[in-house]
Amino acid sequence: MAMKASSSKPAVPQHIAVMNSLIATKQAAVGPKDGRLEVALAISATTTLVTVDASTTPFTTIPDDLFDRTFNDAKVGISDDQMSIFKANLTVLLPEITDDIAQIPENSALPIEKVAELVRLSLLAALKSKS
Amino acid sequence: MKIKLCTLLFGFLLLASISSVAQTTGQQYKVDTSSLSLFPVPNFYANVRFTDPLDSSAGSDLAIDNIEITSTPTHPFSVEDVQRQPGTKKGIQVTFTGDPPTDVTSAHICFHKLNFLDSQNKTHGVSEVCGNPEIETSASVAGQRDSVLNDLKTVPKTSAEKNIFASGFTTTASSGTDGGVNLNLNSNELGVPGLTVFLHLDKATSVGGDPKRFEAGPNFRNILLFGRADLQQMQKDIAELRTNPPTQRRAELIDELNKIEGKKRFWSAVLIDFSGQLEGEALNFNVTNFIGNGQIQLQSRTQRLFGSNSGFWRVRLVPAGMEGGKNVNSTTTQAATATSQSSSPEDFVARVKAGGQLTLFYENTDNPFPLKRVDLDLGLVQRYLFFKEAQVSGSPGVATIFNSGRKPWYQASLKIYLVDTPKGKYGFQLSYNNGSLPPAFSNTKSFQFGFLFESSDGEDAKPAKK
Repeated sequence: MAMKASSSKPAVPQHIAVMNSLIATKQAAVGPKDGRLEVALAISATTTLVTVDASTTPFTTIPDDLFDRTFNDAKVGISDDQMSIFKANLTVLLPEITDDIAQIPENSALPIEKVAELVRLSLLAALKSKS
Repeated sequence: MKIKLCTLLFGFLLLASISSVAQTTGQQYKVDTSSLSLFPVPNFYANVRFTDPLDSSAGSDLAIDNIEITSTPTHPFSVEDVQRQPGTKKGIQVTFTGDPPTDVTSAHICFHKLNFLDSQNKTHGVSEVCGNPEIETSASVAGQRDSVLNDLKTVPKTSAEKNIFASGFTTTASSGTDGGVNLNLNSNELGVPGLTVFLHLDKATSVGGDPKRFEAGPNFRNILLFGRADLQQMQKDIAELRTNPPTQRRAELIDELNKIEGKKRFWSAVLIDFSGQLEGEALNFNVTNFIGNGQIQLQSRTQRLFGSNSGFWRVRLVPAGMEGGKNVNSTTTQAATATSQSSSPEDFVARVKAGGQLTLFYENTDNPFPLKRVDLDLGLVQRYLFFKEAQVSGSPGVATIFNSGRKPWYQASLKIYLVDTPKGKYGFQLSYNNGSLPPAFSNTKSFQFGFLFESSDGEDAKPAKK
């Protein structure tokens, strides 16, 4: 296997190729870092109506269609005023995208899925700038 | 009068019922949005969001051989795993192994068969559900992020919270009152985190029901989270989980995450605001002040209503606030002649304030009784004026007086929705205001009643008014 990796990418030293392969295998077991869990936890810290169970894979939420709702939905119960608190919670959980989180409008009519999409893309963009 | 009101109410409910019967709901069973992230593992994945919820009991939807993905130019995609996206019934995530191709210009993803749920929770099998995912690469992702952010900024506001603590803490659209306007606008697009610009206008034409309030200016907010340490611990735990720790350690981390998440904290944050504002008697500015305002607010987490899933309540307290500044105009009307004028005896303005706001919400569309939803907002603010300020009369030609001391303001708003249709909700609203607000401190005591229609997309409208 090491031979194969070496022959396909001659510029990469053998021991680094092996390490990269091991890291990739380990990361694959973790799953993508898309910020979805952090968004759910930040909401849960703002309202007791929403709970998150991280012991399942993937994690589960109450309500189970949390991301299909808006922040001001009756099952979520976040007001415009509380949006700034949700953003502050999310900033602590995802400090690497603080600037992007600050730009989220403090409008509780926002669809949660759309905010999760912004967070996911921000994390990918941060990944790019880090590399 | 009573007969007229009953006739109006009957007609209104009849209209609502007819509207209810005319509703139709349709399913689409299609791909709504999809994306293909071409970043190194673990961020080499496709997200697919559908127009309708999927049947979570249909395990065959997630079979690897149920999915086919092709690209231009052609590349093999080795599927590692297929999972439902957490927190939604409409999303599936497909993760891939290997190195992501870097030259993909377009892609096509198909699910050979998917099981959707309709509005009655009946399963519908649909074949060949396909979409063309948006390609996300390191070159495109920043632009795609900005595009989503712009979309978020165009989402219309729907709530109508009224902030009585003065200084741009709410973001609402305008809503009509009886012969008047209550307008609250905010903007956070100043490029400085925590800085907003606000404008409040509260003006009515009815005698005794007009607070004559206008204020505008910038506001800076700082937030102190009660749960910051817990959130920081969560962040560390999640980061460690991502290193794929040994099984026992993983279990410990997940247990700790769940314990922190389940903490019964009542208060969520302290909000500290500082603002500079121009406040004036709406709309003639006969009384005008430049004010600096600082206040502390305690915001609770949203709480379940009596532990049920049908409602919630939350509270915000203002234990202390100060307003101080300079009076720049108090050219006021004197006596019944309405011709002579006098100025304020004081140059400066100094006030302290405290108050609170309670929001209660109940919704149960399955309730057999005609009480589908109830919104109740109660608010009060107590101000104490150290210097004499103008108190403009609500009646024309009555002299303005100058006094100091306690100036309370109470407000209550009750919305009751009786009919719930797929297109919207129908009901009525009662509101009560009593007291006075700066800078005119015009004595206000008003009671309003109106019919309500709230469309399903959240837009408020008022088709009729009494």
